[in-house]
Amino acid sequence: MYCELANKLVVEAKRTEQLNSRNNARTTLPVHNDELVRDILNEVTQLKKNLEFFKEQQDIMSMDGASVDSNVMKCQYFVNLLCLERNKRCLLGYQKLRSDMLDSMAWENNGMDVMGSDLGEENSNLTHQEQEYLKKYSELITDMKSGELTDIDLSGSLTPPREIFIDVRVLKDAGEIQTEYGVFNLIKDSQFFVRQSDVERLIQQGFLQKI
Amino acid sequence: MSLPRRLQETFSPEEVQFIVENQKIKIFPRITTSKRRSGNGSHSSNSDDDMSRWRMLTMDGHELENMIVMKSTEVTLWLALLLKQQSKCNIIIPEWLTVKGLDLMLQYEKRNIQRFSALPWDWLVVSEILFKQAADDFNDPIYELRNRIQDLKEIRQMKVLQGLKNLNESHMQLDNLGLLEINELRPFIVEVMDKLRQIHASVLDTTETEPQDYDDDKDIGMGTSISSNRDTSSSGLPNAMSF
Amino acid sequence: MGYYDIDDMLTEGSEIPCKFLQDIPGLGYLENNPGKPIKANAKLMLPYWLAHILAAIDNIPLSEDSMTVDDEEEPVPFLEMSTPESFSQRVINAIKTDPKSLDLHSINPHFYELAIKWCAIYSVKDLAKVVSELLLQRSQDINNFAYSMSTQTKNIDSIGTMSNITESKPNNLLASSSFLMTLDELEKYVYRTSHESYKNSKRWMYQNK
Repeated sequence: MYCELANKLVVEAKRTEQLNSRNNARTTLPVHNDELVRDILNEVTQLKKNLEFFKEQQDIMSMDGASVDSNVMKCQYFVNLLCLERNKRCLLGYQKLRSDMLDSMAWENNGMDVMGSDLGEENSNLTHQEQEYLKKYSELITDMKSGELTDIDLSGSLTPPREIFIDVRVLKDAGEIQTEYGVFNLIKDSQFFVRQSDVERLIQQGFLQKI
Repeated sequence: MSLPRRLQETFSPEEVQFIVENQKIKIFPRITTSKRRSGNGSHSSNSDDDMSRWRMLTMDGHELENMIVMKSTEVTLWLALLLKQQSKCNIIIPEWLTVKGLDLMLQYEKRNIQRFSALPWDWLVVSEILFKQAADDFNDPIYELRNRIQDLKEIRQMKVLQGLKNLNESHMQLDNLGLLEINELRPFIVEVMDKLRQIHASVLDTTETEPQDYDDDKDIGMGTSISSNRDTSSSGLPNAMSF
Repeated sequence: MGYYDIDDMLTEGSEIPCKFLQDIPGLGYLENNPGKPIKANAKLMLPYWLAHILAAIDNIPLSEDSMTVDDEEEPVPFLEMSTPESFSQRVINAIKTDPKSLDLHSINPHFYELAIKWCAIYSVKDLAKVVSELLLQRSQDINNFAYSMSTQTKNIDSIGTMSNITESKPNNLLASSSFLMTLDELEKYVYRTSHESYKNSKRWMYQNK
């Protein structure tokens, strides 16, 4: 039976979706199932050949003027067509889910270079096209942020601010930072009272922790 | 999607708080602000200490009323909290947030099984904020108030759970329920009601329905407040049916 | 419900009992009989995405002349779908007897979605009524459960460290997994999203103390 492979792919997509709905933190993308996708594509090629064959048969028979049981032809044709469509939908659904997740990843990383070294591991789960897509999408975010919208930090914290000044603890050495209120030397485990907007980015990057 | 899924479905409590902080609240200022321009001169003449004068500015340029020491005035909650933090005002605790006021509400809740008492829509948020940041402005002991707030929350929650038994596909009435209360119920109610609506619609006169629309408008309908985002049909098609 | 909706694809993968109404050569592979024709009256299980179109196909107008339906013949669909096991009298009875402890997931993980599609095709008002009532009844339990779970995890979440969560989870997990296993995918989603929401409120209340 056709489309059983496609079903497998969708089940896999469902699992991915579920895993990611559970953890609130970062989007994690499993390995792209190249093999299954390739097999489905082969099936699609086969289905396409079948369809062309039916079409030819139809043409030959109607030229002969023989009384054709068009219904019968139609049914075979439709079953093949529907299988083709089903395969297409499943493939697209799988890829759409992945690209949506890539979008989230790009936003989680502030549209900065996601291809950087600390994400190297995740990268291996992406196909070449997906890596390219992620890079381009991240570039789009960066472009948008540096365009007319520079005044608003689109990838900033989504939690409404409560205080202007906050206490932070340093989690990783980050060297000196310069603010309106002077220079801070961020050494691990030290604490500072700083303006939230000055350190938001450092919190996101995991250098500081709000207390 | 730039906005994480969890923020598409409902507001976060922090967002609710942010909205509530724009509400007005009465305060007793401990400072006197100088009038801008013309008023400035007349006021400074009968004050010997210029350092005690404050001039209030807001970034969005909206006018703030001048404050006079111990003369009650209304400001937004966030501003009140900021002034409070710097000991520049006392917050006047709203009438309902007293032992007496809350007892009245509790009585009403107990007497009327079908209804919710007329607490302000921001009652939960305001009470939590004030307990934390303006504890010394209360006349009643905080723990007594806290207990009553907790009781109110529980009794109302029970009623909500009871009321949800009567969910249907078309409407729902939640008079006097607070923003935070509605907010935490929103995902459940939206999701269940929407499915009930779909089931209901599926057996309606099918001659008028349009074929299933596969337009993926997922990214367009991002209504956080009322519509569920998961079901594209609710945001896209007014008369949504599967066929 | 969109084209890219994974759950919708899985719903459409549900198998429906079908009966062919005409002899069709070359379709034997549908019943694991490749190369052979399918006979009229042959009964087999076909996925919904295939069956519902074949059952309605005489309604689809064809543009090409060579493929128009013969005027003399009454158009007959290729096959006929019969009520899937998920909506059989046996299941309906079980639903009516005890909707709350029913293992809906084992009946069909996409019960509601398939029911909506089925109701829409055959306009089965009775089924729609039963299914509405079922959802209403079960959602009460789901909501109560989501709410009580959020209360139990209040303290853990406010501390927020991973080790604490995993340590104190076994109890909850045991209680939750057996209940959650019986939910269909829609119900699971409802549970997850309402639980998340209650948990956030609790976390906020706790932080403010």
